[in-house]
Order: sequence, then structure tokens, then C-alpha cells
Amino acid sequence: MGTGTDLGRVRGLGSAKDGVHHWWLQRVTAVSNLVLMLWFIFSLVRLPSLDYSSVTLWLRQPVAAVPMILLIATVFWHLRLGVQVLLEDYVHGSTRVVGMLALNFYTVAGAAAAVFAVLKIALGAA
Amino acid sequence: MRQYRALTSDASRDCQWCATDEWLRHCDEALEYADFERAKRFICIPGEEAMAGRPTSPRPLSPHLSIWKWQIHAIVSMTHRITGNALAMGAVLFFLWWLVAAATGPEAYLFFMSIATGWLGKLIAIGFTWTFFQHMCSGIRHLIMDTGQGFDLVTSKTMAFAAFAASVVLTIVTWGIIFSTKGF
Repeated sequence: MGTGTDLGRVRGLGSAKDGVHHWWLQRVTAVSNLVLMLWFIFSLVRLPSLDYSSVTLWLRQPVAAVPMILLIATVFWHLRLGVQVLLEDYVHGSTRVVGMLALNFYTVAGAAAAVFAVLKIALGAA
Repeated sequence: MRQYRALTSDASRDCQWCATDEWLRHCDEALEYADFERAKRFICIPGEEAMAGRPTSPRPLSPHLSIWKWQIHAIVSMTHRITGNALAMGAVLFFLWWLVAAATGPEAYLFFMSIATGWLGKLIAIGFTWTFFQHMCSGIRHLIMDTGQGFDLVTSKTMAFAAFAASVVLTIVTWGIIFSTKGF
């Protein structure tokens, strides 16, 4: 199989060598998700109302907008890592490649839309 | 079958895993699905020691899903994956709609709220709230077990049960407060 030296062939085999990094980032984002999601739910429940003016007034404050942007970053990162595991376990062949591409696009587009929405409200354009 | 009965009645009593009636029931179930050779894999046979000094079939082996006894540890673990992916592909869209509607303007936000506070919207929101809390609680369980703790049977079972109980309680508390203060 293959060409080149034995060492060269061996180096091209095996794992992608970033499994531990994936595992660790999943845990790091889990902890930040935990803190920020509890803050988010607590904040929403504490708002006097969930109507348009209450929510946008709340999001205009830096103490709300900044954690919201961090929340979006950590949640989308965490879901990107998590759904990857689902795809790796249950989807095979070229379908997996398509699935991973779709997941990457979904993550980046979703996070971008969410961050833009927060910025638009926070910077007073909405 | 007779061969297997003989095996389970006397030969496997030396092993703490095989000696329980519960495990023998699994062997019975295994036999319904497979032949003697497969059933033999679920019990230890003294005298047939492998080279490493272990039984030829070290316990516990994991039989096929359909004959595995459902236990709360396994259920909470599966639920963790299901809830995580439901949040990733469902709740996140709901969250995005809410946020983009708020950024778009009062009309878009009002439309979102008219759907979200309808009976179906509330059902979805309460469902995703439980889904989140369940994933959060079983996630905390995973973080604890990642440190190498909580693997003994009692702690493991208690934490798995606690994850389900806590998620239900947290969902009820959260929506109790929302219903009593937000006037939905």
C-alpha cells in the first residue's frame, strides 16, 4: 500500500491527533455554557416582562450584551463539537463529509446571525 | 440447552458476576436469541482460564442491545446525547428566531411572541427547557465522572437518577415563576 518510505507511510496513518483537544474543548465550553446559560435563564425570568421593549432595553446594557455574545460563542462552539460526535458515530462515507460541511455552515451562520442581532440591539440601531 | 443449564447451575458459581440470579436471567435471555456458544460467552467457566489468568470471558461483557437490561446509567447517558442534539438542532433555532426578531423590530418580535406564547409554542418552550436542564444535569454528572469520581454502583446510580429528578424540578420551578410573573 502506498509509496514512499516506511516512516513516511506510518506518519500518514493513525488518528488525526486532535482527539484530546476536541474532548478538552467540549469540557471547557460545557463549563462556560453552564455559567452563561444559568445567567441567561435567570436574567430572562427576572425581567418584568418578555415584551419587545423589556427585552431590547435589557440587551442594550453592556452587562447583558457582552455575556450574550459570549453565550452565543460558547453554545455554538459546544454544539459544533457535539454534533460532530453524532455524525462520526452514525453517518459514514461521503454523507459524513456533507454532514460535517452542513454542520460547519450551520454553526458559523447561526452564530453570526445571533451576534449581529445582539450588536444591532446593543448599539442602538434597532 | 441441557449443556447450558449444566453450565449455569454449577460451573459459574465461582464468579461474582455470573453467580447472581440476575445475571443468569440475562443468560437465559441470551439463549433465546442465540445458540449455546453465544450463551457461553456470558458466563464464566472455571478451569477455562485464559493466559492472563482471567476467565476466558471476562465479565462484564456487553450483549446485544435487545437483551441488555435497561439501567438508569445507560438511559441517562443516551438521553444526554439525544437532548444535546435536540438542543443543537431545535432549541438553537428557537433562540435564533427570538433574537433576530428582537433585532428586526417590534412587529417581528410581536409575531414571534404570538407563536411562542400559543399553546404549541409554550409546549415547545417547556419541552426545550426540560431538554436543556436534562442535558445540563447529565452534563454535570459527566464532568464529575471525568475527574474519575462517582464510578461505584451506588453513587453512579444516584447521580443518574438525580439528573432526571433535578431536570424535572428545575423545569417546574422555572415555568412556575414564568407563569406566575409574566402573565402568559
